[in-house]
Amino acid sequence: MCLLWNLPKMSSRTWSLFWGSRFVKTPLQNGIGRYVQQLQRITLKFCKTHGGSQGMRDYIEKELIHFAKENPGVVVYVKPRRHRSPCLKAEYLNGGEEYISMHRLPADDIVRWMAYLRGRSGYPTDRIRKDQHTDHPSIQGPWTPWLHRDPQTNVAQYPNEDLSCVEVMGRSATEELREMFKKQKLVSSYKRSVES
Amino acid sequence: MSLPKAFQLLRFTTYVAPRRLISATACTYGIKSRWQMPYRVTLKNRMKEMEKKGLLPTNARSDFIEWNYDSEIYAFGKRLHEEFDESLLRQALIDPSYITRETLRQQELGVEVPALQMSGNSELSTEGKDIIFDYATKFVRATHRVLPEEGVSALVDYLTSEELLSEIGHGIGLKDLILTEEYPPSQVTVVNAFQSVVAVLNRSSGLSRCHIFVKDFVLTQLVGKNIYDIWKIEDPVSILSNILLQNGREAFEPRLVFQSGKNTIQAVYQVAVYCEKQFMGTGMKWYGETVNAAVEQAAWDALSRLFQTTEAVSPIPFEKPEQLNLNDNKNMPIDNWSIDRASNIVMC
Amino acid sequence: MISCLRLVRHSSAFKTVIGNESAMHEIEIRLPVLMQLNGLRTSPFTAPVKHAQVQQEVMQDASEIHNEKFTKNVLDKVNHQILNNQCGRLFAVVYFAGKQKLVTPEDLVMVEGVFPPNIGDKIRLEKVMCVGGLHFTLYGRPLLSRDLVNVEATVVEKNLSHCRVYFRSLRRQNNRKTKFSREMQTLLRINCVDIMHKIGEIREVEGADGRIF
Repeated sequence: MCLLWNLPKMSSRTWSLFWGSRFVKTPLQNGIGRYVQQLQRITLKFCKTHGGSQGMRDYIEKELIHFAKENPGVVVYVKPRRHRSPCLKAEYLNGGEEYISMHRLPADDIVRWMAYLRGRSGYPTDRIRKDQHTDHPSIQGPWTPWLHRDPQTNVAQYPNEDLSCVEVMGRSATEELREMFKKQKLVSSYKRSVES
Repeated sequence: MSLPKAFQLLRFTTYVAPRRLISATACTYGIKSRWQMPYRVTLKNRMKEMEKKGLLPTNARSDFIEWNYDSEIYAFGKRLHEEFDESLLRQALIDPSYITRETLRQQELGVEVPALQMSGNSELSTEGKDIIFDYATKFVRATHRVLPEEGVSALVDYLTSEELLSEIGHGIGLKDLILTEEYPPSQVTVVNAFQSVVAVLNRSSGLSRCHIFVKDFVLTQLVGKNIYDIWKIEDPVSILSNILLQNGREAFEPRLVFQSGKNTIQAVYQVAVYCEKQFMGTGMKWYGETVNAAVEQAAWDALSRLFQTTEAVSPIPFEKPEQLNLNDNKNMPIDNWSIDRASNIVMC
Repeated sequence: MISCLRLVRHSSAFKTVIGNESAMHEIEIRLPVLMQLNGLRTSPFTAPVKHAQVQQEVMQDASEIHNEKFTKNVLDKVNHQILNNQCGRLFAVVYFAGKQKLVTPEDLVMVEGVFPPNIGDKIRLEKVMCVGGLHFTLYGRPLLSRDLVNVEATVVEKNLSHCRVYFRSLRRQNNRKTKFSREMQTLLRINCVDIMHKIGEIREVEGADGRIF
């Protein structure tokens, strides 16, 4: 049997056939200067009698007040409706909306989903192509094949004897060290043979 | 005919005149699959067509049951971490068109002299516009001290343009809060409301707080923008030679630094611009497929080095605006731009 | 026999005096007594080993003086830029969440996986491996001092990724497994990268910045 926990992932190409992808972005350069929470209002819809809304009712009784206190910038609406399953609807400043069914979910789960909706910025959940965005990709200048090259090669006349011959490199530090080590070995073996 | 009625009729007509022939058994035994799919597809296509033509009614957010204007106003200030005077803020969000519409409606209902206790935001709007314009000009001058005045005014025009300000207005959630005749509100309406909000902040929390607000929401829009996309320079070569001429320097000398793929379709040239044997600039990221194009790229680079707008200059200090020296002094105009004076100005 | 046993107890003193010549002499005198105790001792006595001293020679490097001048010159130039705020835009390589990222002010960086900071929090990225501007780059070995570089970021978004589908199947084995997972994603906005003081100098107090004792 193969390892079940090491399942192959759906390739990004297959994914993109059905869903889109995007780069990381924030609305209105958020976070420079000040941070503005992007969730603007959230509606909790539930039924007062049905069992499927039990968790939502518990949440509204116990937890909702904390959420409202912690997020004064979010308008919270509570909307009871008869005999329909509960849901959350979040609206964001950039016009994005998200709707999540809360049918038969306990209050603990609803706490987590509320925390999720609270931190989002409202863009659709696409596959993200790169985990970084920068407007200044290279401050010291990008590398080119011309970097650090002698401009004399531009005016050289070819065939050129000097430029065509094999470049003789000096000895590297590693090579020198190796040679020193070899010498040392020779000396010590000679000494040992003399002593014995 | 109202929309739901039309849909009812449509459902009825599918029974009477189906697209395809439906066998009698299918109808009698209630097999829906034969007709339900084409019916839904038809409805969906019709919906799409109406949406394209703009015939679908768009409901304002305030038309729905779950809407509390007081809470929305409260959350607006909290969201932006600002303290607004509530009555002033409410006034800032009333467009004059809303008042005329309300007056007309009351007259239609039989009120002869409607007494509406509200005033529009036109006065606040002009006040806010001036604040934004003043601060943006000072700020851009302070952050780009050697940029010619033409460039500064182009940047300020961009920052105070209707498109950008309305985008910002939408971004802080004004769309649903504005009381106006039409929905969604037009660009001008959103811009007026945003400017009024700035004016209200000035009246309720003081000018310095207001300036920080403008800096955080308007001026941060400069981040990631290329200045020369906003301030269009047609011919960088002639501008560079003009500047050198005005400063009594020799004409610049373009030198071919490197080339590759000569006489091929992928030819590329890198040219550096020198003036009196001093290096001025070279094509750093973009080279040229011809020598002339390469000279133009080098001139671009030389100009951006002179105006200190390269990629390596310090970022705008949005976190520490107190570092900036804001004053009314104008920058040098491009016709009178001095290299020596620019080199004396220390950017920080 | 009793006296012999006493001697054994005293013998722990030998450990401290091994190598001392007078003590060695004493041991030699007492040796016959010790030899009587051969069967009682836990470990046999071994004569101390005399290590030959390593001869080290200090080599004068001819290029050292030149290097010193060169180093001082470079450091002065960098310090001049730092003191006069002329470094321009700085970049930094920061290590966090198990990865190294090259960042510069106004960047967006996404962290995938569990990351405790909440939205709106300002955090300082302390593990800076490298910082540089247009004209110089400072490398840490492996990290730069906390006092030297200040990299700050704001948490802008906490989100879940798109639903990733993990699917495997063995053909003709009636064996299929599908998994769905959404990872936590945190988006950071880099606010500033600053060099706080001059380089190449020994400071009175180091590493105490921001610490509460």
